[in-house]
Amino acid sequence: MNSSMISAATSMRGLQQKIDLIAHNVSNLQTVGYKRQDASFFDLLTSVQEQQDNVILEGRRTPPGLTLDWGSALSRTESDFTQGHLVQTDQPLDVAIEGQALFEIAHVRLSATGEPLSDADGRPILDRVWTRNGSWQLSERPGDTEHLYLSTKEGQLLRGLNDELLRVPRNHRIELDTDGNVWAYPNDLRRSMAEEDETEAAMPDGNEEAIEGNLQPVHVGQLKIVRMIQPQMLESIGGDSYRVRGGEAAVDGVLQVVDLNVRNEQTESIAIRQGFLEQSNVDIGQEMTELITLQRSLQFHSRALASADEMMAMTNKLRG
Amino acid sequence: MLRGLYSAASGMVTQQRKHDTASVNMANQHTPGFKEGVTVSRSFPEMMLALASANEPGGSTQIGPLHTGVMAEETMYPVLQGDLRETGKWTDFAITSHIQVLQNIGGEQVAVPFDASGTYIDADGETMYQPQAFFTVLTDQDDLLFTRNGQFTVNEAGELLTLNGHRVLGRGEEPIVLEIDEAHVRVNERGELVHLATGQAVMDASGEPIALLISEVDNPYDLIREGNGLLRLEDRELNSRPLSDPSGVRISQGYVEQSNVDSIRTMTNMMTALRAYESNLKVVQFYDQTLDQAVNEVGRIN
Repeated sequence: MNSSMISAATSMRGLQQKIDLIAHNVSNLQTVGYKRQDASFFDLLTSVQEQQDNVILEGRRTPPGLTLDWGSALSRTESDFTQGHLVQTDQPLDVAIEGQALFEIAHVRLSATGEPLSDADGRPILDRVWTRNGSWQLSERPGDTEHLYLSTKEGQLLRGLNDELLRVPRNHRIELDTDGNVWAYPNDLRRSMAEEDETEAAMPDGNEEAIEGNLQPVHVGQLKIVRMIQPQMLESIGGDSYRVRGGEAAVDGVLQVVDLNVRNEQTESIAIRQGFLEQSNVDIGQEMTELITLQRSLQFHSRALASADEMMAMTNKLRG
Repeated sequence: MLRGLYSAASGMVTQQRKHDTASVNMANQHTPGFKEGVTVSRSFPEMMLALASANEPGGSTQIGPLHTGVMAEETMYPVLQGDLRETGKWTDFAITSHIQVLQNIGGEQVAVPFDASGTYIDADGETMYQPQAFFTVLTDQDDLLFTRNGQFTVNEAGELLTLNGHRVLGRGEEPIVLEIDEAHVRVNERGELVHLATGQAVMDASGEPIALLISEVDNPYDLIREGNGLLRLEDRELNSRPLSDPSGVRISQGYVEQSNVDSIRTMTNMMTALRAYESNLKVVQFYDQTLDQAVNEVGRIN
């Protein structure tokens, strides 16, 4: 038995997984709202070879037994929820979150073959998932010609504070304030107010008096914002979305629905920014440094493997 | 009887063990809180050789002492400080431990000057060990273990856990449960939870401040490794205690203590072990040749 070979091989597997993780982070360098994934190593179970009492001699420092280790492995991955940079795009459907919070999406549950699943009444089953990606669109829903629905680029619908869907009347454009209130303005308003940009800039507070005549904005609703109490409990499910480890039962301890209209200790550091996108928080310098270290480490391990192999080869050639 | 054949064979086994240790050290280059292992070899007990004398019946002539081999006696993991790396994560902690021990020399209290391996041999030849600080962890089997790997996480109940799911203990040996969310508390350098805004200590239900339980282990060489960075101590109540004097220990939140493995030394150890293994193997081959000669040349009949 050559445990050098076993521990080198096991540990190379862990290193390879970590390099895969770095590759994943680097490939999402430009993904809006992406949060870098991180994992750490731990040493594998130690076995102790029994030693008899007469082996224990004076001058020995450690308790009886010879410890044998079996290398290291990668621990579970966690997302790093530090804030990404906000980049101004001036697109009305680009929205970014400042602070430790997420948007909630009504995610249509799919079958194994990718077909939407329905409950007994034929309505689609909706799961709650959360995202930081604020690159949105307005999409149509069958049976509603009057409204467009606020949704992600994948067509998943966003939820309002009271779990309603956010319906925007057709031929309206939306504006959001920092509290996540969504207002729809008739498209005509832009023309009539083109020369009054200053008024428009003052409007995000929802100050209706600033608007003339019958062109009243429609209050579409308020975005459902959840504050992350325990970001460690969130698990990435791809497509920049997260779910809570431990399922629906665990949600309450991990995420807290907050009404940004009410400013208190919990909500003071959260703000919604329209016309901005949150960039990925991957730091290419950091990832590359780590990649170099890991690659060298991988080389070291292959040397260890070669060395263990040479040892075995020598033993095999003991008698020529 | 060719005694050297067995010596050489035991040398091969020992070098293999040393190679294994080097390989494990290398494998844990990136494991937080890992301590580099050192395998110590020791020769088999000496035996006295004697020549049965032909001149006088029952008499013998002493030839001299002989060692009949070598063994890997123990692998030590000296608890030496690793470098701290900033991670910025709330649940990452690092211990910087430098506990002073006072000794009475000529009526004066003097700090014991420990060497780089955390030991000191005094004038009477007694070895003293530098105590080290550890996080205290409770396993599902209700075992109290120690660790230097301060990468923790929080579960949905707010319990502070190691990455393998063991509960991290606070003072009073109760698992730490965070009732306020982490955005509003910090852990200070003594391991106590304080409110970020006011700087006041966070109290538990009984009015005691919540703090990480940092244990002081008298002789870190007594610790037995359990895997996953956990360390067991026999007679724990006797040989360890909650840290009494916080001056020598600092807790850094948002940092982890990196493995203290030196990759150059590890590589050198591995190469040395490989070549020493080869040397022992050559000796076995020479003995084989000797036997070959004895059997096929000396002992030839026709």
